Amino acid sequence: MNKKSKTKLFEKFEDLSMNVTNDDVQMATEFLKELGIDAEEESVFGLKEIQRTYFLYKAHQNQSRDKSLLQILQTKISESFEKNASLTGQILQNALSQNRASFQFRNIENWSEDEMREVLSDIDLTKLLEDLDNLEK
Amino acid sequence: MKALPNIISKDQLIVLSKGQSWETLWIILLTHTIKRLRYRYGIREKNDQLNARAKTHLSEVLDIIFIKGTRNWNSDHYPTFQDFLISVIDSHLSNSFSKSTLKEVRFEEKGDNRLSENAEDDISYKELKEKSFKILQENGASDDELLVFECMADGIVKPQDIRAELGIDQNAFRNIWRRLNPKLEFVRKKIESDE
Repeated sequence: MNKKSKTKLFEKFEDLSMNVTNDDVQMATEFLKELGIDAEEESVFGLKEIQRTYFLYKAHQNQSRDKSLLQILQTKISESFEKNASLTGQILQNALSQNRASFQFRNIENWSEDEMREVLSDIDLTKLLEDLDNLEK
Repeated sequence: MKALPNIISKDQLIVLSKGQSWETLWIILLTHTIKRLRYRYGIREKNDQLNARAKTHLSEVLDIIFIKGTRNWNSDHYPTFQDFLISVIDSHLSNSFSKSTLKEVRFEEKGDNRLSENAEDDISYKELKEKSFKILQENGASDDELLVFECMADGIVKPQDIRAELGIDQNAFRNIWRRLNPKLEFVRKKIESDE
């Protein structure tokens, strides 16, 4: 009997064993129990793990959305400053007033995306964009 | 014209995932990962360590699918959500172990198992099957257990196919499997020790 034959037979053992527990949660639970693993405890852990994943997914989505909003805002602020510097400054001041009352907007139109992110990280970017849009009307 | 692959978008994936019973799915995925680590990669650790290792891999798989988004679900290849998850687990384990010093024990010393079989291999496999059958008989395997073994050795490795072949229901199959599985482990060890 050659090694190839043994491997072929052992593969079939493994495949059937895997399929038995993939197709039947009762058999999977029994397998875990044989190893001394509490299936109920693992179910709770699994639920928490997928909830944690959804949370991270949402955070990731928000981060991507905010990054794109920041890029739009950067352009919009530069344009708004050119048209009406004092009103633009007032809008920014209002947006930040709760958290950064003493903030100065010197040269904000020339700030980098990272600098803007640091300053604008805790405000509603969509609302600020709307306010700047309204300034043009 | 060739049809485009049916790729599930990330948003659809989230919706489908939220519709799953994760309490059940997690048990199946955890069991699958532990078995792969044990049988394919030969990991011999205490059970709690093996469990912890499997859970780390599963967390990494969720990250690959939902956060990094580096694995797409082609539903033509993997019809169910569970099939897709299992394919990602297998691929992730394979990648992890190809980077480490641990290698697959399943493919050890045999080269490519997709090589075409010759007549000598067929005879050798037939002899091995007969030998295994005899070991099972000597260890008190019932006719039902022997029938399931024969199905498996002939390449029928899906429980529903075996049930259909033998005309038995799920409960009957479970009972046979509970008795047969430890005997198969014994056969494996006996054959390995006979080398």
